[in-house]
Amino acid sequence: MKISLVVDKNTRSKLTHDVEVNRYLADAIEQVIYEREIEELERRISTLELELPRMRAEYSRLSVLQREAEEDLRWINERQAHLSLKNKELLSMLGGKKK
Amino acid sequence: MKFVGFSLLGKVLVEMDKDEYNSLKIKAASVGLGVEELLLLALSKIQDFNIKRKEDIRKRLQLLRNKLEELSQPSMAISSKLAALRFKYFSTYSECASQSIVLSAMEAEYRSLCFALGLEYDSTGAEKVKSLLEKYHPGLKR
Repeated sequence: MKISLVVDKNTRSKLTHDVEVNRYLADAIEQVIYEREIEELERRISTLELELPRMRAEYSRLSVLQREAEEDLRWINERQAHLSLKNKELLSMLGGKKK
Repeated sequence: MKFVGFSLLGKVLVEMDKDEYNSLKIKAASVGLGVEELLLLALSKIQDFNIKRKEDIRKRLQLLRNKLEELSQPSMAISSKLAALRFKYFSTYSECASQSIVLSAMEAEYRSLCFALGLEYDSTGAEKVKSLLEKYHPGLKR
């Protein structure tokens, strides 16, 4: 099968000069693929390089919030236990007074 | 696959068999290109091509693959740790939100009992309960 391609003047003039097209065509194709892969890798690396510090910062921010929430919950539980006893005690005092 | 020259209309003609075409199609697709696009780019590079450049490109590619691997591992690790921490925080936050409401009701009961019994009400805890309600129910109107 033959593939016909419309090329620009510059490429056309390169091909009509003394370049051994067939000797280099496979390598040139490989080069294009490598270069495209390099572009993609550079893009992914740069995204990761931006994301990593952002995720680390988010992790330490959330760790602080988590510690605070745990402390709050501990305090809430202790206070609930304290008030539960206290309210029972006061309720019985109130019951006694009413009698 | 070979370059066979120019057509009468000046188009570049490249000849290849079906297997070569299919293999090229897969290679081109792996980097987001069509066969024609890949051939055009390759042809435009023919004259710039040299062995040293090819080696440089291979080295650069390997270097980048290694770098991506180095970055991917900590990224995956932090990403899963972050997801676990988000879940844990959400669960602790929700527990604080619901229990602070229960506590607020208990505090109110304590206050009214003190009042009913004519006892002094210690409001130290109440201040903290108020701040917890504001923290875990920011939109709550009281």
